[in-house]
Amino acid sequence: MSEHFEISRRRRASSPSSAAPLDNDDLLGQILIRLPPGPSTLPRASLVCKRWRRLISDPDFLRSFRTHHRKPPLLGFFYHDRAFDLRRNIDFTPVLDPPDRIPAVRFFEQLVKGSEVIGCRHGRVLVISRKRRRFQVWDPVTAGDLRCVAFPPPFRGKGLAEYVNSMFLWTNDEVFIVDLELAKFKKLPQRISYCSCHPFTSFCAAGKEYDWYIELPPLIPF
Amino acid sequence: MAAPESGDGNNGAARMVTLISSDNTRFEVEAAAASLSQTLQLTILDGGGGGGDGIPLPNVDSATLSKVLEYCIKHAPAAANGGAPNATAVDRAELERFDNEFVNIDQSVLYSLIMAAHNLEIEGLQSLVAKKVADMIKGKSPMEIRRTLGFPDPTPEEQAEMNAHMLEYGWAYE
Repeated sequence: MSEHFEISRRRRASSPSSAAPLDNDDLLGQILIRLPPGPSTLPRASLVCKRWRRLISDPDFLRSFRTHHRKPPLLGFFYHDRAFDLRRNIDFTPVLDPPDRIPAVRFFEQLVKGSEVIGCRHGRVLVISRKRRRFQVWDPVTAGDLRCVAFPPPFRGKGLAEYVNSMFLWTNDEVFIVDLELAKFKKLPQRISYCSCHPFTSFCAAGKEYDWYIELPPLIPF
Repeated sequence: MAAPESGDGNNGAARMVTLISSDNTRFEVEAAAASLSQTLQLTILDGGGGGGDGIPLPNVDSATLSKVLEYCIKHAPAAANGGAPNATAVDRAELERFDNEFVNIDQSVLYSLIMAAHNLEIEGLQSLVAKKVADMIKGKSPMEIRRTLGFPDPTPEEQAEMNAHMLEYGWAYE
């Protein structure tokens, strides 16, 4: 039932006409979540007409789409030179064939030079710009929903690890969790003395509690 | 010695129910097959559809109902095994072959099936027909999707909006 998608149940037509299934948001949603999970799929389908666009941008639909395609496709990988260079862009190598091949050049305009990718989750990328002392949560595919957050005050960029769908950052004495999907930072109340941190979980839950996230103020509204 | 029949009160011939299409054609089918429909399941559990009564289905015509029942009869044994977790690979392959052939049909028949599967709440069939439409449009450009599904050509306003969006997501249309 998890993939049973509905935004609003329209009353079904009393006499079935040929277009009836596509006029029903519930049925159209069931069709569209079964499209392949490649990154070109939804941008294309959303151009078919206004109704499709509205349905595809609905967060409930997007959640159903993700749930249906449990395993997201690998789009490519980011990399930088070993010698970290403040003047250089991040490079990207796509691994999919057209039309799902996202060209690297598309990313260059979106990031501050000298940024460093520190983790990818849920189609979001956590980027750090030490020069500007800020994190950027970045959505490369839509190029939208960019969000910049100043370094939490004590953060000097000590280390990071992966934690479920988040990144785990720590400094000399504090630990932060960054939820990339929601672009939110949480500071844990526990303090640490300097060491490396390894998040330890009892199991990998599909759902999470989000309400304990403290939102740090965005530095730059995009 | 145990009796060979291990029925649970369902001894002898399988119970039959009668379904009546919108154009008044009567279909006699095993209750187990008709029960794949969530909509019908409760009525059938309550003993409906037996004898001369029949369950009227005012939203489904006879051509569509006959197709729906073809699906139900084929899938009923697997469904009875709890979604067939212990089905053999051969059984599964046979069902898959059946499904592929089953949806190899005209678009108008497919649309009628979508509505019927929705109204009758037959989960497997809903999934099968939705997948078929998705397969028809996957990998196509927005204009090709519109043509495939028989949408009218876009108005100049819609076309302008499409062009603007395609500039932004140019990579997705190569």
